[in-house]
Amino acid sequence: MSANVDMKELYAALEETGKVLDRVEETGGSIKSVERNVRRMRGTLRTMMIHFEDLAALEGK
Amino acid sequence: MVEGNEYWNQPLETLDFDTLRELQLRKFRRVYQWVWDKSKLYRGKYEAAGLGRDSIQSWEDIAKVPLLTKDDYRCQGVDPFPYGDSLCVPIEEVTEFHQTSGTTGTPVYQPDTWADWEWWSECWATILWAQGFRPEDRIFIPFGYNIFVAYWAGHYACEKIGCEVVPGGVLGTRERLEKMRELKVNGFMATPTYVLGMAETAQKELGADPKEWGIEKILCAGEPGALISTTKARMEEAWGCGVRDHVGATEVGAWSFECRHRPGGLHVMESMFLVELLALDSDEPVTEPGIPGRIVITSFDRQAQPCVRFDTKDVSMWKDGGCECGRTWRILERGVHGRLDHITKVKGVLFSPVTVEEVVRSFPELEGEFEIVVSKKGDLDNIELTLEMPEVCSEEKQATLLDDLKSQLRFKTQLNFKIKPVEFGSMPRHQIKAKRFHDMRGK
Ligand SMILES: [Zn+2]
Repeated sequence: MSANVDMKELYAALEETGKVLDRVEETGGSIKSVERNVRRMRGTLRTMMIHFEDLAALEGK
Repeated sequence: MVEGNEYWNQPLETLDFDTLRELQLRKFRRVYQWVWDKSKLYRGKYEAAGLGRDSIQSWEDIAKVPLLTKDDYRCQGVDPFPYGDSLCVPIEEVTEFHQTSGTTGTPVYQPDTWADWEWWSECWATILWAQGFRPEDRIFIPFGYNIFVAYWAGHYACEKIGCEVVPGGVLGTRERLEKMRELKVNGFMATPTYVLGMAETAQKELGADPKEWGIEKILCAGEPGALISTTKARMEEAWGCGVRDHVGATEVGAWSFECRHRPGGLHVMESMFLVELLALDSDEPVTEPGIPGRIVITSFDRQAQPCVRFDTKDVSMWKDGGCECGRTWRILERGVHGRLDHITKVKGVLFSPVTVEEVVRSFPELEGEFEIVVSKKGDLDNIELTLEMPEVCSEEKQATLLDDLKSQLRFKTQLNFKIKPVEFGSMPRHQIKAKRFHDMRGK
C-alpha cells in the first residue's frame, strides 16, 4: 500500500477510538452535552472508517 | 515525481486499477444492502426487478440494478415527512435539509445525518486539496448559502483543511469585492458566470484590476464553463490565476474535480462514488474512451438518502490515459458536456448548447450574457441567439462582429443562427445555474 501506512493497524486504531467513545457515552451519556458531542465525534470517526475499512480488508489479500 | 503532499488521501487516490475495482464492488454491495434494508422505495424497485438482498456478487450484477431517476422521488412529501420512503435512517437522525433547485422538475428534498455532513466536507476537502487549497490560505465565498447545498460543504471543507474562510453572503458584488481586497484573500469559489461578472464589476465600478489582488486559486461549480477552454481562459486572464472546475449534485454529492495539473476533464472520485457511463440510446455500459454516454452515479457512503445508480441525464465520455498528478481516478474528458435533454437534434443536426458558449466566449469583446432559443415555425426548426453587444461598439464594428460570430457558429454547429443583438447589461445576471438554453418546440 502506498504512503507506507499499515491499513490494518490504522483501521484497528479507528475501531479502538469507537470503543473509547462507547465508554465515554456509557459513563457520561446522561449528560446531554456528552451524549450529543459523542454523536458528532462518531460522524467524524465514520468519515475515516469508511475510507479505510475496505483497504484494511484488502491489504495483503 | 509527485509528492505525497499532492493528495488529501494518498492511499485512496493512487490505488491500482484492480484494487480500486475490488473496493468499488465491496462498497457498492454495502450501499445496495443498506438501501434494501432501510428504504421501501429501493426495496420495492429491486424486488420488482427480481433482485434479492444478496444479488450483488459481481460487476455484471451491478448492471442489473434498476436506475434511480428524479421521478422516483415522487414518493416524498409523506411520512416520515417530508422524505417519505426514500429516507434510510430514523428521522431524528437527520441534521441537515437541502433541496434541488427544481430547474428540471419538482425539487427533491435531501436529508443528511451528521455523519453525512462530515462526508460532504470530506469530499470537498479532497477536491480543494487537489486544486491547491492549503491551511495557510484565506478563502472568500461570495455566495449566500441557503436552502440549496451549493458552497455549504466548500465552507466546511475549508475549515477541515485549515484555511481561514470568509463567508461573503448577503453582500452585493461590489461590497464583496471590496471585502476581498481589504482582507487580501488569496482564493475564492463561484460559478463561471459570477467569476466573470465580478471581474467586470471590479474593473467598471471600482476602477481596479483584480489581477493585482493576489488571488491564486479559484474553484468553479454550478455550470460547465470552467472546462470550456475559452471561458476558462477569460477567467484566468481576468484574475491572473488558475481556475479549476468541480461538479457535484444535491442528490449525489461532490463527485468530481479538475486537479491543478489541468487533466482536460474531471477526475472521478472513485473511492467514494461509482460513476458509470451508459450508451445514449440504450442501457449498455460505455467503458471505451471517446464515446459519449450518460452519467449514472452511486454514492457509496451516504446514509440518510444515498443514491444508487442515479441517472443524472448528463452526458460525458471517458478520457484515454492518466494525469500528471499521479491519481489513478479516471477522467471524464471535458467534464460534463451537457444534459441529455439539451443535446438535441435541431434541423436534423445533433446540437449541444455548450458549443455556443465555447464560440461566444472565444470573442474577447463579447463579455455579456446570451441565450439560445430553439422554436418551431411550421415544420421548420428555428434557432435564435440573443446576445449582449459590447458596451462601446460602432455600427460598423457590430456588423463585422455578428458576421464573424455567425460564421463561427455555422462552422462549429452546422447550423444557421438567427442572431439578435441587445444592449450590454440588459439581460439578467445569474449567480448560480445560468439557464441559457430554451427548447420551445412542442411547448
Ligand atoms: Zn490529475
